[in-house]
Amino acid sequence: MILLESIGIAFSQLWANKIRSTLTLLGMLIGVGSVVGIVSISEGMRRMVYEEFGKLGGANFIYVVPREWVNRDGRWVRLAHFEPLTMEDVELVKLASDRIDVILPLLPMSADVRVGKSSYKAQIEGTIPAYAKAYDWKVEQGRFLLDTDISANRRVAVIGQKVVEEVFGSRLAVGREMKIQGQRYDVIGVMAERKIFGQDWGDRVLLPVTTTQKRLLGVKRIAGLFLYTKSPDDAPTVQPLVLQELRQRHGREAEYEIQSGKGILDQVEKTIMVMKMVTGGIAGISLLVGGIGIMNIMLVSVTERTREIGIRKALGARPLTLLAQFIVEAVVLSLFGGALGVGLGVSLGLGISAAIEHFAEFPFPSVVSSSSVVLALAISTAIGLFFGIFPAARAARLDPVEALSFE
Amino acid sequence: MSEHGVAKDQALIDLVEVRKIYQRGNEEVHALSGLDLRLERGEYVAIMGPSGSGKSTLMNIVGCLDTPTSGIYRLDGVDVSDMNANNLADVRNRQIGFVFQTFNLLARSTALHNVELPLLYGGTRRRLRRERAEDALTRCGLADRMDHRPNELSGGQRQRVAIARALANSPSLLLADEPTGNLDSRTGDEIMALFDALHAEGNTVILVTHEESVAQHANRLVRIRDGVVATDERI
Repeated sequence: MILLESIGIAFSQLWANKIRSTLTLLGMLIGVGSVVGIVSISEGMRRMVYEEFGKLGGANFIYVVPREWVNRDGRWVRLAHFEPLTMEDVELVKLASDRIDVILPLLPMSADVRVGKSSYKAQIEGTIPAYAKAYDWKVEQGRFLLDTDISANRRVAVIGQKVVEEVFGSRLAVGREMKIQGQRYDVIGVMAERKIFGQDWGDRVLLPVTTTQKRLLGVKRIAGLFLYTKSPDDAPTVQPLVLQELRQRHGREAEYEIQSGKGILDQVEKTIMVMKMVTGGIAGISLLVGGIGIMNIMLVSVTERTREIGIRKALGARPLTLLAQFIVEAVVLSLFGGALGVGLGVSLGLGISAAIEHFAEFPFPSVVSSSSVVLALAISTAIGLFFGIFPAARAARLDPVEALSFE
Repeated sequence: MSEHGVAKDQALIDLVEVRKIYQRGNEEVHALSGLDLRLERGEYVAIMGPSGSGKSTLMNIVGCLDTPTSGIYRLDGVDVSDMNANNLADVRNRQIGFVFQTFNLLARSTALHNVELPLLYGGTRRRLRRERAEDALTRCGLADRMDHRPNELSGGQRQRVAIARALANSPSLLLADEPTGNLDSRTGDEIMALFDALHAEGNTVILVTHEESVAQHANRLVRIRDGVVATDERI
């Protein structure tokens, strides 16, 4: 009953001093707003990374590239033992662990693709039939590469939508010819549209790895391996086995750049953590300032209302009742600021994610979790309680005779 | 009313050898120097005295806003001289109805809400609280002003709200401190007529005043001088 009364008094006090209340709320507003905003952005970033990795077939990939050059004491040195990987490695490394699902060769190059007078600089990838399934990338028209294309070094190409657009225009591409470095290739398939991390894969031209090696590059090597483990948690066990196998084949001194999807995710998690800690610190300072603001304004309020306190005491309000009344006022003030701050944070998150989506052109959601909202409101309440106690105790302790004669 | 059982001849107010000493800088101020005073239930008493006589201090102690330095104050048979702040608050709530010179209403609250306050602090339930507050305002002639705020009321009406507030919890004692001090004489007369009526209904009333004409409404006049009772007469 008295609590309800106190909440009513608190709101009428806030309303009676609108400007003062608004300014006092600002500290809480900014603090809570920045926490909620940053948390929703970080959550959005996490979700985005997981979703994009999902498009790649999950975070269970490992990427291995032999190092030719290493940085020693600030100077780039060519390794004496450098030995490039070959298609043989694709076959044999698979045997290193039964947790490896599939291994793809990496052999990228860029070259002009020509049809008649149209020409387009495409990303050529020499690969194998397992590619489409591993990347979960669908063929829209025609077919994908077959084992026979590989073994016969066929001049066939599966191309992305962008390539079709640039060199074939609106014409049907499958069954036509195109030229890469003057050689004629048959287009056997067109891949579906696909974007990962905002990057359009439509500029790709997929050729049999053997064709790329022999006809375009004149080499036996491949640039690296891209392998999928059966689950993302396999990365830590598979990684050393792969390295061991490679070193056995290419020399103990060989060095490799090796990166797993899980490793990247861990990196992302770490970045989010740091982001949260930094903003947490800033928000903490802001909330501290906000809390001190509340304490300050409550002290002013208690002084201004000394006579009112005297009247209430004369009518039989106990010290504890007045203590509760003023603490409730402080909590209402801070909670109100916190609630507005949640609103600010949510719109901040939405605004930033919209801006990123607009300028970076890839999906970036803002995720507001209910737990972060509850936490923000709980912290607001705690700040009101903590910073409200001192002014409220001052009100409760006032001598009724002195309070009543206060002018 | 008392937990200790009420003797038939028990006084409502019994002040014995009450002293109040203030420290003002290095100086000790003896506001009350061994004052004795007994008041029976149903009395209508005026307390007069020059400023500095100890009259205000006496008011504060009788009203349980303050406690004596030494001596005993029994209110309705209960010794309240050494009570803590919580218990004094409860005694004020149940036993004392204050009426102040400056009305002391809450400016932002309606008349009704002002009158409900002592009931609220006494823990009266919402519906009963409203009923009794409306009843008190009606008794004071403000049935049609319940939803007005103090700044929408005349001085006399404000003082009537204050009196209704003092009556709301049916206290043992109405304690009025210069109740007509801020009113013109005609309005003051109306307020005094209200006190007369309340006394006639059986309420115990203490008036603190420096106006002889106001004091004449009472049927007992106590004059204070230098912290003790100088004269005490029936009128």
